[in-house]
Formats: sequence, structure tokens, C-alpha cells
Amino acid sequence: MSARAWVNGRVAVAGVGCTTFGERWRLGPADLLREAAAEALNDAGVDRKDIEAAWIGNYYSTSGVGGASMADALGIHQIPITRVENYCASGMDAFRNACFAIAAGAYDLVLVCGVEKLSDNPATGLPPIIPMDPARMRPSSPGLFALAATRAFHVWGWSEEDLARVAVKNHKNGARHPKAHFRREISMDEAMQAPSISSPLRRFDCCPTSDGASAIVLASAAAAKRLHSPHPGVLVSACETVTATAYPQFDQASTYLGFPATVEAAKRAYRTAGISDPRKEIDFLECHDCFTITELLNMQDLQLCESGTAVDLVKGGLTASDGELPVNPSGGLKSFGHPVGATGCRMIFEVTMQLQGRALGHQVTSAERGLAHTLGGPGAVASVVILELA
Amino acid sequence: MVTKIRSIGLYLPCGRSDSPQVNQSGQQTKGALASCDEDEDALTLGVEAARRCLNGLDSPPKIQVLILVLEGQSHQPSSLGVIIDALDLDQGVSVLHIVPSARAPHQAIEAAALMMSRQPTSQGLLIASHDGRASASSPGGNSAIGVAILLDHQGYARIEAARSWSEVSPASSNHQGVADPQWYSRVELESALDGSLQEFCRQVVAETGTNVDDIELFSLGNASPTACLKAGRALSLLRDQVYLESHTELLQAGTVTPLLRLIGLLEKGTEGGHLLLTTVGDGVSAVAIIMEAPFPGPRLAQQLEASSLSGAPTRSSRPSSAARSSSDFNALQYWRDSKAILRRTSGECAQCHKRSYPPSTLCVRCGSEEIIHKRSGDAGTVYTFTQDHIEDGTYDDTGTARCVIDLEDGTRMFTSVVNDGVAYVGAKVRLVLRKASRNTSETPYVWKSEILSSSESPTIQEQEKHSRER
Repeated sequence: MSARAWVNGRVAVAGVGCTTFGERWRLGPADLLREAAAEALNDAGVDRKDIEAAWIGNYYSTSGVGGASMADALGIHQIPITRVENYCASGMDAFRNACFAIAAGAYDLVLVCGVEKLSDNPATGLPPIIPMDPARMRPSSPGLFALAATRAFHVWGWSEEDLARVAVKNHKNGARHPKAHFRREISMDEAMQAPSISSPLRRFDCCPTSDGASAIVLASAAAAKRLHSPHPGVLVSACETVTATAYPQFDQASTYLGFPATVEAAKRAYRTAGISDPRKEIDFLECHDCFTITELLNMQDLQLCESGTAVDLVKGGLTASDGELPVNPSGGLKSFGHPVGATGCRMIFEVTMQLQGRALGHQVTSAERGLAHTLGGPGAVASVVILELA
Repeated sequence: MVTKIRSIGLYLPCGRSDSPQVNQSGQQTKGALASCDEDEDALTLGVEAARRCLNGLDSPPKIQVLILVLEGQSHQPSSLGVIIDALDLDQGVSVLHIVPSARAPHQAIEAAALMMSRQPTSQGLLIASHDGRASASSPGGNSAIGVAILLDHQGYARIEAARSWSEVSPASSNHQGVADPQWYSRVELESALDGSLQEFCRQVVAETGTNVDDIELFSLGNASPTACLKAGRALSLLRDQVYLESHTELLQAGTVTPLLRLIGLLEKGTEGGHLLLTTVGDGVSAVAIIMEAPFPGPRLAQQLEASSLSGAPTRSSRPSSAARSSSDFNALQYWRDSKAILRRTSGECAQCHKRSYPPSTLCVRCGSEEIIHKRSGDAGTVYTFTQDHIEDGTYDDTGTARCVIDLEDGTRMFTSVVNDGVAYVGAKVRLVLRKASRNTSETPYVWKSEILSSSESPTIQEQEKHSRER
């Protein structure tokens, strides 16, 4: 049995918490962390003093969040706290590290948080970063994914209308979620006539930059039983992170018709969880829809449909919250918001709530196994987590 | 050793404006003067001219002498290495940077001939450019242009003599080498014509073993047609011996103007003919040339036409360049990597032949550490693209086309598109050197894509443009 397979069935999600995402002007990163962590600790029925170790996912150092910052914010000194930075997958990769610590038997009860405070940044879009290699020019974040959309249009004949359907679906879902950044539906006309951001992506093809935090209390399966939670038990079946190049725009192997990191992470996760037909065996998913094109490509990379056919699933309503395979019932990054470091744990929060039947107002039916997926940078890293009812 | 002209390259930016004042503000419209885009400067104009000059030679040039006359607001002498790297010249090249002035081009030829005479196998490259922007040294209306001349020991026009005679007159002491032909025609030319020009020209021609009667064509490189005729009469030349090519405003290009006249003379000169080109300003300079073979082209008119077709007119408005920053570029990192960037050095794995750009130290596909460095060409094809409206954290209504391109050798690059070119998948592109950002205070230079062919069907950018117009 591989080391990764040890995770399957040994790690339980004991409690989850998430702040409302959006422009939280009055709150700093520490406030957001406290809000999410308090909810998760309360959900698990544990005290902060019971936490043996913690991880924090955070991308932009401008937030000033490290291990010690989290310790100060939550009053959990004298335990190991590790900050994880892995693009947009920071939170989910922090979760993965925590899972391995539990599975390895090092701890029984740990806390994983993700946080980002983007409204402090005055720039349009994400704050600029200093690249490790300036020789290789980067487009803007939407520009990176627009390159994929252009390619998909060219190869598969996809259109702006196909992208708009994803935006409309996710806004419809987000409108019903009490913690979503954007809680209003949009029409196809609105989506199609919005200003261009990076062609062919328009405003409603792009997720917002949000403030927010999320938190997960993880326990060993044995420790979870001792907590006597009133909610159904949720176990981690698989958690995988795979990296690829940070510069697809300089790599001729990049087809721009998908993201190899997601393909490999999914393949490994399915193997660990014992899944052979993900389309039938996954009941719903939260996937990384930073842009509408990304959700479509992710569905293909996650082996939920054939290459070039994701638009047909959306068009046929299969990915709607009441469809055969709900995709982003929370509203996704598109509508729920995207505080970069917080998104991974927010997805795990959402999948857990759905599995436990607590997603009031936007509950999907027959949810026994859910998948969460984040994609970081220009496809540079992907994380896949599979949770299922115990 | 005899120095000869082997090839000439000219680059005229595709923007057109009516006056340097309009040009300077960035509000470019159609007009008689050529004007730079905001990511062009004297350096990029010169490099593009040099690339045209060196392109198509039978054998790779071995430039050992590089003479620069770069006139422009944004040029920084510290960027010299950019030119050497972008043209892939040897590091040991002897460089002479001549301060722009009326006589600088002729002084450059004189200096090159002198330096090359000591190196029997050397080739010399003279690059002169003017960014067209109004400045203290170029107050008149000027076109932006770059000219490059490859000097060799073989070629079609032999430089028989090149001499300068300096004279600082009270009239010229209150300016800094003004390259304004109008100014010279009014003030200093009169004193030069009174004596110094005639005498000096006779001396230079005598050095060639002939006399002024043998001159086939004469020109005063930085003067009006009237002044040229006057100077010709002073030398007892007939009207037919004085070069009076139409002086379009496009060819009024500050410091570069005398070289444009030189090209005109070479085009008109016949095999065996003697040419004499002079300039005045703080003295007199003269270059005597004997045509050894017919001018091989391309002719000035063809080059001007080709340049004007090389891109769409520049946009009518842009956000102020002063408001832009170069947050993507860290100066220290840029200069550390600039050799790879500017020389377009890519790596090819010796084992699996995977390409990397900039060259990696190990192959990410097979793990081999045997990476062979190669210089990539400048022709490629668009793989995918976007019209990006987000730049440096701000929204730009017009946006900039950016594309992933595959070069012919398999190297993949990501570049901006210049001149508002319309990108589409499969479009042919050529790399051109431009400033990384439009902020004139920043110096990093990168390769960008010039779209060579137009789309057959409406692209996203065209649809956006039509949408804005509606």
C-alpha cells in the first residue's frame, strides 16, 4: 500500500467553518481567520487548546500571514503551525499535508485554515507578483486562461455562449448560498454583453477577488468517533497535489486544451479512493472555476466527460445543482468568490456540508461522495480531494 | 585597407503624425511624419534597421566595429549591451558612440573607415536613428527612422575619403549640434559657403586623385534643395550634378537625414561614378565615394513603402504612459537574464531534443543535463492569443494583443503584439525588438510579435473594435 493510500479511511473531517466571502472591508486577515476557525472548532465540538498542530494556506504575502500570525490570531501558541503557499491550491495543499500528518499517526486533532485579504490590494484583479524568471513574460490572470479559451474555440468550436452558460449556472447556484460573494442570478444577455476582460473572456467569465477565510478540523478516524458529532461522519478518501510547469506559455508541450496537473492529480486520487468510473462514482463536485473556461476544461481533465464535450454537459443541464452531476453547487469561485488561499478549504467545507445534508437551500440530492478540486497559477499545480460519508 | 558599403537597412515605424508635439503627447493621427509607438525608441529603431541591413547576407557578418549615432529622449548609453545582444554580435566588438549632431553620420563613416583600416578582416556596422520626438537638439519637425550601413572590405561603393573639419563659430556656440536643416540653411550655411565648404571639398576630392569636375553627384546632406544648389554653384557644379531628390517630410529625420541623402546618391550613381556628400554644422564633413557596381537595392522608395506596410496605424489614444509601471520587471533579474532574452537563446536537450526558452539547466522531460544553447530565428506562428485589457493592475479600454507563438525551430514564446496587429491562430509573425513597457523611464527590452498577414475572418479583436464603434 502506498503512503498516500494510508489516508483513505484514516482521516475524518470533524468540523468545518467558513466566513462569508466578499469585500470584508472592516476585517483584517486575523479577524477572518478567527471567524472561520471559531466556526470550525465549534462545529467539531473541540476547544482550541485541543489542537495539536495547524496548517495555513495563504498565497499573497501582502496579507502578512504566517504560522505565528495564525498562532496570534487564534491563541494557539506552542504548537507547530506551517504556512503552505502553492498558488490557488494553497489551502487544499495545506489540507493534504494535515491529512498525511494524521494518517501517519503524528497527531489526532489538527486545524487547517485558508485565508486571503484581497480588498486591501488597490490593483484591478490579483496583486502583481515578482516572478522568479522575468525573462518569461506573463499575461494577466484572465489573460492566461483566455489563451486556453481561444484554443478551445479554435479546436472544438466552443463559443462565448458556451462560456456564458457556465457563468449563468454558477450565479444561479451562488444566489442561494448565504455565504457567497455574489448572490444574484444573471441572464445570458448580461453575460454575453459584459465588457471584455481578456478576449474571449468577459466580465462574467471571471471570478471576483474576494476576502475570506475557511477552516477545517481534521481528526483521526478513531478520535473522530470520540467527538460524538451529531452529523454524519465524513472521511477523506484521497488527497493529491501534482505540480506542472509555471510557464505553459513557453512550453511547446502545452496544448491549452486542459491542465496536465489536474489530469495526474485526478488519476492518483481515483486510484487511492478506488474509483474506476468517476462519472458514475462521483456524486457532485466543487471545481476550480476561476474562469468559465477553466470549469469546462476541468470537467474533461477530471475524466467526467470526453475531450471537447464539456459544453454539452452544461448545455444539457447535467451540471446544474439539480442535474445528474452537479458542478459547483455553491456557486463556485465564479459566484461564491475567490480569496485565493481560502478557496481550497472552502470547497472542502462545501463538500462536507453537502455530504452531511446541511447545505440548506442549495442541497444536492443523493450525495455520498464528493470531489473538490483547485487549480493553481497557469495550471502550475492542481489538488484533488475526495470525501465520502463514513 | 579599402572600406566599402556592402548593404544598407532602413526602418521606418508605421505610425504617422503631423507634428512632434502631437507625437510627444501620444495622440497619434495620420500625418506626414513617421512616429514611434510608445514602446519604440532610438535604440529599437536602430536595431530594427540593423536587422534589415544584415538580413539576407550570404554569410553571417563578423562585425568588429560598431558605430552608433542614436538620437532620442529615451535612449540611455547604458543600453549598449542590448544592441550587441539583440544583433548577436561578438562581445569583443569595438564600439564607438557618437553624440548626435549635424555632422555625426559622416563623422561615423570617417571613424569606421579609420578603425576598419587597421583590421583587414573586420566588418563595421554603422547604426543611426532618430526617435522623431521633439527635443532641445531637434526642435523642428522630424520623422522617426533608423538606418544601418554595413561596411566591409567588399561591396558596391568604395569610400575613397572621409574627412571632418571643425569650426566653432559664434553662431553655432549657442546650440548643441542642432540637426535642423532649416536652421543651417539660414545661418551657418552662408558662412560655410563663403569659403570653408568649397575649400574643404576640393581638398577631399583631391585626396581621391581627382577634382570636382569629375563629381557625378553632389549633395549637402543636411540642407534644403535651395542650399544644395547654392553649394553646387560655389563648387562650379552643373545643376545635374547636384542631388535634389524630393525631400519629403518622411525623410527629414534629424541626425539621420544625411544618411538618407547618401542612400539617394548611391541609388542614382552609375558604375564608376564619383559621389561627394557633405554636411555643415560646427564645421564641415565630406565623404567621397566611388561606385564600383550598380546599387543593389532595395531602393529607398521600396524600403519606405515596405516599412509603411509593416503594421497597422498606431492607435488614436492610449492611457498616459506616465501612469504605467513595469511591475512585472525587476531590473536586477532582467539584466541577469538579458543575454538569454535578447540573443533569443533557447536550449535543446541533447538526448530528447526538447526545447526550452530561456535555456534550462536540465531537461524537464528526460532529466539530461546536456543542454545545447542555440539562437532561435525570428519567424513564427501564433498558437493562441488574447486581447488583454488588464495591464499592470489597471483596466485598459483598448487592450493589448498577446500571443503564444511557435518559432520555426520549435521554441515557444509568449509575446505582446505590436502596432495593434490583429492576431489569430495560425498567423505568421516576425519578432521585433521593443521596450518591455511603454514607460519611457524603464529600459528593459524584449522581443514582441509583428503580425505579418491579415486574418481572413473577423477575429475577436475586430469584433471588439466593431462593438466599440457601435
